[in-house]
Amino acid sequence: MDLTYLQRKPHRMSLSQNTTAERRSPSRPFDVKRIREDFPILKQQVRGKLLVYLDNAASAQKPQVVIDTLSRFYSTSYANIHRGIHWLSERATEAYESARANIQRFLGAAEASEILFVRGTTEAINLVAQTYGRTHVHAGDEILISTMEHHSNIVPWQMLCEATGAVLRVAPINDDGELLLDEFEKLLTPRTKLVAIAHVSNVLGTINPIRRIVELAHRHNVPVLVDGAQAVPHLAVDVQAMDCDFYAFSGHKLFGPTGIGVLYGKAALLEAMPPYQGGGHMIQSVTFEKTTYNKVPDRFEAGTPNIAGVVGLGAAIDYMSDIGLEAITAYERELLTYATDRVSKIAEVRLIGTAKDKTGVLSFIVDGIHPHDLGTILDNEGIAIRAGHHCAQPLMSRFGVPATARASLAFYNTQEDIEALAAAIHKSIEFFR
Amino acid sequence: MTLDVRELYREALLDHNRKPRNFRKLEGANRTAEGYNPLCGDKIKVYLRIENDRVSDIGFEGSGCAISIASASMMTESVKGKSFAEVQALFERFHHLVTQAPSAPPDAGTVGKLAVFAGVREFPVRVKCATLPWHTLRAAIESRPELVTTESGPASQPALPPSDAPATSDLQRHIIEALRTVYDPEIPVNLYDLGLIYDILVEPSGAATIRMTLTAPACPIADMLLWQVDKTVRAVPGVTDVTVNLVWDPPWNRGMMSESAKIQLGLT
Repeated sequence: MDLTYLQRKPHRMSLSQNTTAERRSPSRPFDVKRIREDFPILKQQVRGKLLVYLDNAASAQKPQVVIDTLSRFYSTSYANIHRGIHWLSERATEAYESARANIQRFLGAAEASEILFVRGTTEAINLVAQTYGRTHVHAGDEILISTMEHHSNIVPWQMLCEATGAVLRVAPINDDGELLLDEFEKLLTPRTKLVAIAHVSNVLGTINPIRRIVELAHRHNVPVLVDGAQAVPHLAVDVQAMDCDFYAFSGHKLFGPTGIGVLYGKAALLEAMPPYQGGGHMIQSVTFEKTTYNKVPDRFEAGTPNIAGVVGLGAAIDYMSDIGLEAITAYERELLTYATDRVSKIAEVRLIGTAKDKTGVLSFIVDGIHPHDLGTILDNEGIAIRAGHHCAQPLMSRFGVPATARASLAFYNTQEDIEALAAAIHKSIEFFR
Repeated sequence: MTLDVRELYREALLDHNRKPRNFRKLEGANRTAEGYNPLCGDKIKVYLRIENDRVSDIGFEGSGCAISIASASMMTESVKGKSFAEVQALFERFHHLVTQAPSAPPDAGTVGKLAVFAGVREFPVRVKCATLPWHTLRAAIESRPELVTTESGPASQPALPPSDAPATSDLQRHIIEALRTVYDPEIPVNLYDLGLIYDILVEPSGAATIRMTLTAPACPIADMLLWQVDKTVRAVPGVTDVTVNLVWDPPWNRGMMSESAKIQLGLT
């Protein structure tokens, strides 16, 4: 089969330890200048200035290879999958399923069938709430989350609690935005049926100690769902090493297309779960009396999925693996240190989220300036940040602020971007003085 | 194109943000309303002292961005002493000022000092910041007079509704009942209780005008819902003609739902 449209080098189909080691080798140093060339949007002028894109936690920009893969896929290989007895359908199915295998390797999952394609992290969490949750959670049971969750890891559980009579418990954090593990452990009781927790906080950047959390939860026989939306663009993830039971992420934050996301689930759990949505492809046979459901993962992918989105996500993951997650993490860590130092030197700035272990997220408030006004001034300088509650209102209350400004980094950001940010903050302070 | 933020943040606006006028809880207020923009977290509470259908005094409290605080502050100065009709007319002119196409010539003469908000129209995401205080003011005017007195117990009898909000007629009630049978297929609560119907005007001839919104501007079934509203209202005995106006201002929010809708959706 011709897979040239995926722009695969021959070795990429089987990512062995050796090739990964090669990529990490110092012979290919991390070259941010070259990487920026891969992202056409970074050459964009905004309000007469070169774009400084610091809103990566909301959504990340796309490298040319992802854009080209989508175009090439639609131009040469598109048809519905798993259905046609024709050549094009087989070709599309092959591309779709090879992306699934690609993501399995990316997450370190044991089986490709443990990878379910969904619309995004939100749908992944809703899927678990509505299938695993509906069958395992009953009145009086408890679901344990943390204060730093995004609304998408709060509301699906509230809905489940309302439907079942279960209770949502919330593990607290300290003033730096770190989970209080002792308090978390105390909240694990015989009534706890599930832990749902962010790998990385979208507001604070805090990296939660997932391995330790899973260990504690498993000691009480409680499965753990990890919201990985803010982790996968920055950190190497190995779901088997973490031993988490579910892991969810979105393609669009991982330099891939919108409308595609992934739910990883341990095979034994997925196989025992009822379907999520009814429709085509998720069944083995249908009569009006009885329907036999398909195997995993097909049972959870009713209807025609986002085929091109899956193929595009596969290309994004290839692109990231080529650069190397370790190199990305190391570069971003250095840039975060620079940015934290630079921004916290501004007397009027208060950083929200100062965990020891964090990714490149700077949430802050500037004395006397509402985050929205700051956002407008920065936008006028060509700098894209987010201002608002970041879909984490309970966390905003925890820190006693209605909103924050948030600059979030990706591996294509530079020290020049940080300098532009700092200069624009100074300008805003002058402006509103 | 370079936009000068100075056009948005004029000096007068910055001054009202630094030193908001009438920023206080008004003693002797007889109407209040709270406005909230869930997108940015801006919160405004407007206090009114109404005498003879006039705003005899006004105060506000709240937190928000410079645009919303300055807008509230300048609004309080602009409406003091004005009749409901004058306030409504001023709001309409102000609304036009901040929402008209950027290329349209500024129409500043009629809004007085509020003309400093003309720059807002270049920043569409900030329009709601400027209009939030005005929507809150309108809600306060239309609210049930709530007697802030030293006497205990609830205000016994609502006073007459404001002159521009006529009492509900029998025909309006029948239209409401009919609208309670129309549903967005994705939401198990009817359009009326969801708060999507902003008002129902019925002329003596029986011609009905429905002003309504939808939960999201990109609602994929908008056409179908509008058609259904038209058809349903047209079928009400006594209705001779129907006009359905789809509006996006004020934007719908959960607070507009009836209590029963909130209970039904588990939001209480």
